[in-house]
Amino acid sequence: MKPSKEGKDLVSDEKLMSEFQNGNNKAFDEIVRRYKDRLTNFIYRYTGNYDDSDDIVQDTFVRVYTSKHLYKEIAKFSTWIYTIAINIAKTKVIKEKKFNKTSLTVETNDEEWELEISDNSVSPESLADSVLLSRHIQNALNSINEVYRELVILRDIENFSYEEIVEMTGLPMGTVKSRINRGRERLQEILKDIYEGQ
Amino acid sequence: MIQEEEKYREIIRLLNSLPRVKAKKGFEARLMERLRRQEDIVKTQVTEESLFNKFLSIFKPSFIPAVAVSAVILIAVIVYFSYFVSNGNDYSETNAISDPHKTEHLIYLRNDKDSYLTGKSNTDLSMNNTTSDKQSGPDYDHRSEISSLSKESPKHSNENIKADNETIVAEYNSGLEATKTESESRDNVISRNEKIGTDKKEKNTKVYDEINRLGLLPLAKAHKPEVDSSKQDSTKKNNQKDKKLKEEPEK
Repeated sequence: MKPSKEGKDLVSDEKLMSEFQNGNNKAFDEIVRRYKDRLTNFIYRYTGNYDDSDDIVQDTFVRVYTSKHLYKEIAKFSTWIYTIAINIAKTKVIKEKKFNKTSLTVETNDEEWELEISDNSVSPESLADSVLLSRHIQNALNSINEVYRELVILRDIENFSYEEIVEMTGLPMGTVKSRINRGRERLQEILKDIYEGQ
Repeated sequence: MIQEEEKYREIIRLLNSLPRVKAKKGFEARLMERLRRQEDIVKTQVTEESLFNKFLSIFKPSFIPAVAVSAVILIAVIVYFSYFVSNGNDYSETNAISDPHKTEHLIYLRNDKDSYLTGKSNTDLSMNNTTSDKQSGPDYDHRSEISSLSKESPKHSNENIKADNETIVAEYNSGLEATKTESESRDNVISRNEKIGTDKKEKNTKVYDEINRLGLLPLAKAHKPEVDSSKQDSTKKNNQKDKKLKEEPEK
C-alpha cells in the first residue's frame, strides 16, 4: 500500500512533499489527487457520515498546507497525513458525541436516562443486496468502540502494516494487536447473522 | 499472529469487500477556496504579529538606557515646570496680600463707606485702622501718621453732611416753613464760604508777611498768590445772588 509505487506514480509522496515545502504548489495538487479518495474512505468508515468525512478530509489538507514545515522526511508521508486525519476525526467525533448525548437525553424531575436507539438488524434475505450488506457492516463498525474501530479500519480496510499503525497511533505494538483482535471479535459477534446466512 | 488472522479471516474478507468511497465532486475546487481564505487569515495574522513585534522591539535591552534617560528627563521637566508655575502663583498671591498700600486702601474704603452709611464716629474707625496696622507689622508708624492726618478732614465733612441731612429732613417735616429753613441753611452755607475765604486770605497774608520778614520778597513776588479776577467776579456774583435770595423771601 504505497501510493507512490501505484500505477503511473513515479515520484514518491515524500519527494512531492519536499517539493511542496520548497514552494512548488503543483506538488501539493498531486498529493491531494493521490490521497483525497483514500482519506475520504478511511474517515467515512470511521465516522459513518459522508458529509462529515468530506469536511474532515478538507481540514486535513488545509492542515497539511499550513503545517508543511512541520513534516520531516524521517517519517512516511502516508502515516503523517493519516495521523492528522485521525486526530481531526477524533476531535469531530467527540464533539458530535457530546451534542448527540445531550439531544438524546431526557431530563425529568429526579431521573435521567438515555433513549434506546432502535435495533437496525437486517434479515438474511435482504442482505443479498450488496449495498445493504455494506451498510450493515458499516453499522457494525459504528457500534463498536472507537478505540477498536480506528485500528481495525487501519489494518483491515486501509491495509496498513502493524508497524505503520504503531507509528500513526503512537501505541505499543502489543496494544495495537490486542485492540485489533478485540475489534474483530466484536464485529464477528455483530455480523454473526451474515455468516449464518452465507 | 497468522493464526489470529486465520481466526478472523471471514471478518477480514468482509471488511475488505466493502466498496471504496470516493471524495465528493468539486473536492479540489472547494479545497482551493478554503486554502485561499486561510491564506488571507494567515496574512492578517502576520501583519498583526509584525506590528506587535515592532512594539516589543522598543523593550530591547539595548534601548533600556535610552528609554530610562528620556523618562528621567521628562519627569524632571514636568516637576520643574509644575514647581515654577506653583511658585509663580504663590508670589502673585503674597504680593497682593503683603502690599501695604493695597491693604490700606481696602481698609479705608470700607471704613469710610461704613461710617457714611451708619454715621459712626471717625475716631472709632481710625482706632480700627490702627489696630489693623499693628497687625501688619513694621509699616505701622508710617500708616499711623496717615491715619492721624485723616482724622480731621473726614470728621469735619461728616459734620457738614449731617447738618445738611438734618436741614433736608426738617424741610420735609416743616412743610410751609421749608423755604425759611432753606434760606437759613443758605445763609449758613454763605457764611461758611465767607469764613473759608477769609481764612485763606488770612493764611496767604500771614505767609506773605513771613516771607517778607525773612527777606525772601523778590522770590515771593515771583510766586505771590495772585487773586484770580475771574474768581473775584464769580464770588461777587455769588454774593449778589445770595443777597437777592435773601430779599425775595422777605417780599
